[in-house]
Amino acid sequence: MTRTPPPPHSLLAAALALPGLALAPTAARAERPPVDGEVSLRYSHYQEYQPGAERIEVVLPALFVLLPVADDWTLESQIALDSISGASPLYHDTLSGASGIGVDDVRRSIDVDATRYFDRASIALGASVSREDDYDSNAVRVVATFDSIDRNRTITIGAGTSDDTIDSVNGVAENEQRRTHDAQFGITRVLTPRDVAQATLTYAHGSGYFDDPYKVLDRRPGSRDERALSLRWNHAFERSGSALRLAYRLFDDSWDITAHSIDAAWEHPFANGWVLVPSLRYHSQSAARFYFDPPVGSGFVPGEDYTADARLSAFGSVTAGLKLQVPFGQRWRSDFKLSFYRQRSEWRAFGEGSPDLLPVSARVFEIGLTYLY
Amino acid sequence: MTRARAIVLWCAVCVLAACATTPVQPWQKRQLAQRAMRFDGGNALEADFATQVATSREAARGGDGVGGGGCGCN
Repeated sequence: MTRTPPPPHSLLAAALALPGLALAPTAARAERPPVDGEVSLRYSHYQEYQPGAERIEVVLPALFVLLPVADDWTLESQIALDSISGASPLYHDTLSGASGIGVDDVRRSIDVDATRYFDRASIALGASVSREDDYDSNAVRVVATFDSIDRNRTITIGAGTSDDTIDSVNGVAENEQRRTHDAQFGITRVLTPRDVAQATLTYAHGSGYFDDPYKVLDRRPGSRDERALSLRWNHAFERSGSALRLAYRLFDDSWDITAHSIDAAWEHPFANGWVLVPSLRYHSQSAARFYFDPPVGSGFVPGEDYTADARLSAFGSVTAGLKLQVPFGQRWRSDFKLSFYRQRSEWRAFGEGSPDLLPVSARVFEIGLTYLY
Repeated sequence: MTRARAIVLWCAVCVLAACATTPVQPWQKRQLAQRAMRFDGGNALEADFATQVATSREAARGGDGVGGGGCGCN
């Protein structure tokens, strides 16, 4: 069994530099010295529906570039264009499209990160800009990593801030502001020649406008504190060349939402270089303290917090995905991924789900092309 | 909730600090250096889209990085 070989110089260099294990989205991926350049194109299509009706559709082409500069710098950039259209709930599972008013928006976003590598440390500076018809966001971040002498342990410390402006097209929110500060602390540890684990704590404090201007009667607190602890464990199987990735996240916030999320992905290479990646995710959350069950308006008191946004209700969800990765020569690879998402009140763990809500489903198709150099 | 957090924290500490494993040498890390062993699965765009799908449908976020931007919240 063989895995698709990366460019010949990179595997040994990466091995010598471990723990070289990339961080998750939105963070500067700064845990290993630059060895490969990369250009990736990806097209994603998302269609959401509920019984009897289609909801939001998202079409997202995106470009990612990782550019090694000199011996100890990398520049990373990601550009994405989301086209969002369709019906979105006005409250609970009653759709806006039913009244003839759907969503039709385009989101343009760019992320740039510059990372400087030292002998056993790195520092990354990043910025993100996102523009929609009704929502502008500007964010900056700094992330530093420190390796132990044997490079079996890495400490990651990061901080960021974002400034958002909300200007809803229906005139409910006019030039409303929200500011969020967040911080992270993480430890990555090489446990054995085939196991690596990571624990990350993040904390975010947001203040400003949190209402959803498109939802009926929606009024939310003027601040939100969010805490998340994620635990990740990756295992490599020696004989088959497979890799198993497991992750768990515990989340809670000042709106009384507690959530548990479990992710598992198994990456299995075949002799011809193709790789199959089945994945499964389970998520469960409790409701925000100001979420009220149907009918809409029940529990509403003027001047007090209220939402009928089902995303803040109590439910469970399952995502099942299957990806096929096909290499072309040493440097090119393509991948195709299909996943299904389903959300149901009854699937909540550790308690009752919110009653009288329709299940929500989505199917996602992705196609990607990557060039490593 | 506090109890659940304490249990998870304790597990994290056990895994990352207390396990007295033999230090892994650089020449033993070949398998760990595969792209498949990265925590984001080795594909930044795929990982970001999965996060966007989850955060636009659910109330939880975080646990990965900092300073993300944008709404994409429909």
